[in-house]
Formats: sequence, C-alpha cells, structure tokens
Amino acid sequence: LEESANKLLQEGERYQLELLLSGPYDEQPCRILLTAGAGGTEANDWVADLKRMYERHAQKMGYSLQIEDEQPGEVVGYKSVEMVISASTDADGGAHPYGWFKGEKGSHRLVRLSPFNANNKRQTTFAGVDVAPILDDNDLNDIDIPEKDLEITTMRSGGAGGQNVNKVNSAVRIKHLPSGLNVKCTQERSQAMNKDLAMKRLKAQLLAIAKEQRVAEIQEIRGDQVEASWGTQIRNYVLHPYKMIKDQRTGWETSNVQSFLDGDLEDCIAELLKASAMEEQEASLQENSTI
Amino acid sequence: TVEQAHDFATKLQRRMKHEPIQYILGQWDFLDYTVAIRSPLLCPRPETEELVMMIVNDTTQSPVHILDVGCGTGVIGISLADMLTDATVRAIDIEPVAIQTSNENAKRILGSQTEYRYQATLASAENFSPDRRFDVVVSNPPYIPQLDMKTLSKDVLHFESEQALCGGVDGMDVIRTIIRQLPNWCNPGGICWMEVDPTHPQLIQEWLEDSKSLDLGVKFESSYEDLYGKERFVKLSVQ
Repeated sequence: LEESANKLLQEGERYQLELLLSGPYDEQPCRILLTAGAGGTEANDWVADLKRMYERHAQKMGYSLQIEDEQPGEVVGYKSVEMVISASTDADGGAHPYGWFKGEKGSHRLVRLSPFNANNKRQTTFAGVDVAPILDDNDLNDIDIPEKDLEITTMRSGGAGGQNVNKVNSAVRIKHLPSGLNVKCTQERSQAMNKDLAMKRLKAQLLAIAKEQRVAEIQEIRGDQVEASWGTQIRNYVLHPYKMIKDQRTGWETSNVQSFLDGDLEDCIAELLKASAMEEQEASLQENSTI
Repeated sequence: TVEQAHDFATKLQRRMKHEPIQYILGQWDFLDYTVAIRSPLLCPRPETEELVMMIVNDTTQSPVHILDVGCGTGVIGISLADMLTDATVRAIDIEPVAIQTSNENAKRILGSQTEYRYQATLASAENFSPDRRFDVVVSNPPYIPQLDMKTLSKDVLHFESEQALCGGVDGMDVIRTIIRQLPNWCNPGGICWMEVDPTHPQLIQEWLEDSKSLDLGVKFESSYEDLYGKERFVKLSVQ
C-alpha cells in the first residue's frame, strides 16, 4: 500500500512539473552539444561521463536520445558529442524535451582524483553543455535575418565555380555578424540543404538567446546581478575529498554522486523548474504593479 | 563481405582516375532529392540549386507551363514540377542519355504524376517547335568559353560531356540560340531564367539593349549573384 501511495505522490509531482513546462518551445525536441573544456584527456573523459549520464537520464524520463555526432578524444572519451532528445512515441514518456533539458545549459565543473594524471592528483575540469530547441518551420518563420548580417562560406569558395568545377564537398558555414554566432552543417550531400539546415540552427540559437535576455531582464527587475549564462558554472561535481553535487542556481545538493551520474537528475531539475517558475511569476507581478 | 570489399576497391580505382563520384555511385543529391546521374551528363552543381530556389520564390503563376532547355539529368525541370503548384514541364536535350535519365528521375520524384506533368524529348533548341507555348523557360546551357575549357580539372574535362560544357568561343552560342527562340516558345510576358558564365550578364544586357536588337522581342530584366558573389543568373522577359 505504501509503495503505491508513494507512486501516486510521485506521479502527482510529475504532473505539477509538466504544468511548469509551458514556455514557447518547451515541447520541442532539443539539440544538446557537450564540449570538453581545458584539461586534455581528463576533460574528454568528463564529457564521456556526462554523455552517459544524459543517456541514462533520458531513458529514465521516457525520452528518446539520438547521438548525431561524436568527436573522440585522442586517448579516451570525446572532444565533443552532439545529441538530439525528443519525446518518445510512448504514451507515458516525457513530452517536453527542450523544457526539461534546457536547464542543463552551462558549464559543469568536475573535481576528482584524475586517473590520467601521473601522480593521481586532484584535478578540476570543465565541460560545456549547450542546449537549443529544434524548431519546426512555423516557429522559425518568426525570425527574419537580413542577408547583410550573414557571412556564408562553403568549401568551394574562390575559383571559377559553376560548370567549371565539380567538387562535391557541400559543407556550409554561416556566421551571424551582429552576434558572432557560427553554425556549420555538413550532414547533407546537397549544399542547398546544408545551407537550409544551418540557417534553421542559427535561428534556433538566436531564439534561445532572446529567451536568455528575458531571463536577464527578470534578474534586472529583481535587482539581481545580470550574468551571461553560457560559460557560467551551473553545477559542481566534487568527488574528492568529499562527495557532493551542487546546483549553483538553486543550491540543491546531493552526496549521492554515483546515483546522479547514473542518470538520477529528476529532483535537481524539478527544483530548478520550480525556482524558475517562481522567479518569472514574481517578476511579472512586479512588472504589472509598476504599470 | 568479399563482394562489398571488391566493389569498393573497384570504385576506388575509378575515383583515383578522377572519375566524378556521382558517376561511380550512379546517384547524388540535388536539393532534397536523390537523382540518378549518368555519364556523360553534367553533374548538377550547387549554383543550379540556387537557380531553382530563385525561380520557385519568384514564380507565382499557377498553373504554369515550363520548358527546360538542355535538361541533362532533368533536375531543374523536375524540381520545379515538384515544388510549384500545378506546374507542367517539357524538357529537351540533344543527348539521348539525358532524355532517358530525365524521364527516369521524373518517375522517381513525381511518381504517378509524371504522366501528365513531365516529359523529356530529344530535340535541339534550333529545331524545337512546341505545340503549346510556355510561361517560363529555364536553362543551364553549356556556357564555358572555349579558352577556359583547358583550365578545367580532370574530373570535369575527361569525363563530363564537352557538349554539355562548352558554349563556343565566348561561351554564348547556345544562349544566343535560346534567346532568339524565346518569342517562338513563349506566351507574351513569358520569363526566361538562365545560369551563365560571369562574363555573360553584361554581354547579354548590352546585346538586348542595343537598338539593332529591338526586333528580338526580348528584354533584359536583371542579373543575380550566386553564393560566391559571381554574377551567375539572368532573368529575361518576352514582350
């Protein structure tokens, strides 16, 4: 009886959380990019750990996870991993991939005794996690980027072009001049298709930034310091000399590090969602009261 | 498997002799389509993808009857047939392999609609006399000037058809033929789009705006740059 009561409580909680996930792109699939920070092999190994952690967490939450690209590290692990998380076709699977994982965006700091260090010394490494929603055409039509803001380069730049040349390298890189954002797409055999995909990814990133600016606005309204979120440490994973994982934004912490690294992120993420929702609510109230 | 390894080795040999990869694989992508590509037809270039998208964005007429001159693998006409509502396409080429490949690619992409929406026939621009006039004429004609031919890399020069590449001394031979035929092919107000050599837009504009050319009945509308900043496309209209 107690077991089923707990389960009901859990499901009740989960339902409440779903209500918090009502941002404009929360229901969309998301693209997650893991990048090793400085630290060489140790950082590459950290990326592998994070990859595993997200794979297992996605499975627990009923999401579908696809690895899109992997750049292996020279010794172990990865320089970078790109994955896509989408809602599973299962009826009781998770339904808000971007909404759920967007809080993972930022810098994740690991402190442990490094097996790759000659003296097995304690080392600090970072990995960057970037999360962007994958928008469908309807969402993207909201954004119009003027041609003059873009610098588009392909592998064929320079030379005669046209009928004179038959080079099939169709990679396209687009740089958005005002923001400095860079997007590259190599997956299609058609250059036009790669350009199309690169534009979509650029727009998704710009939208995410616009959303962040809203977050900054909220913090300003509240009188908090405005911080850039990419590059900011969002979570500390300390494995030595004590075991503690602490989320910097909510103060949520656990000493059950192995369980967390095995994919048990639900409580931590739930805490963040509740805190964000409260912040948004307070800010809206303050905004409205000053009108 | 042993067969796969052998097949791969054979293909690698061919590639080492600079044979275009599209010929070796027998197919490649053009926009969102995978199309059959056969020797000695021209392997579609990215600029041609731009041409098609430009036409799609510019064409509002529906239904629209289109002519693809020098269709090759058929990609231009077939993409337009697929992306424009109520478009019917005729395509011509002087190379029999082009006609076969274009009709085959049309069936791949348009399926059962091919029967009443796409037809490629063997004909030269000089001799083509349609029973129904067109709203849009599009072409990626051979446009490389004679002298530039020897600057081409091996994979182009030794494998793709010279007929599909070289446009005579100034590269404009076929272009001129097409322009002269436009009043015979098009409805009044018909539009002609062509992919050309960067030296051509100016030559074409000067020719059409010369007072001696008034009886041609073709007006130079505009030229457009490709992704590499080269003047690659022209838009003409028929009076």
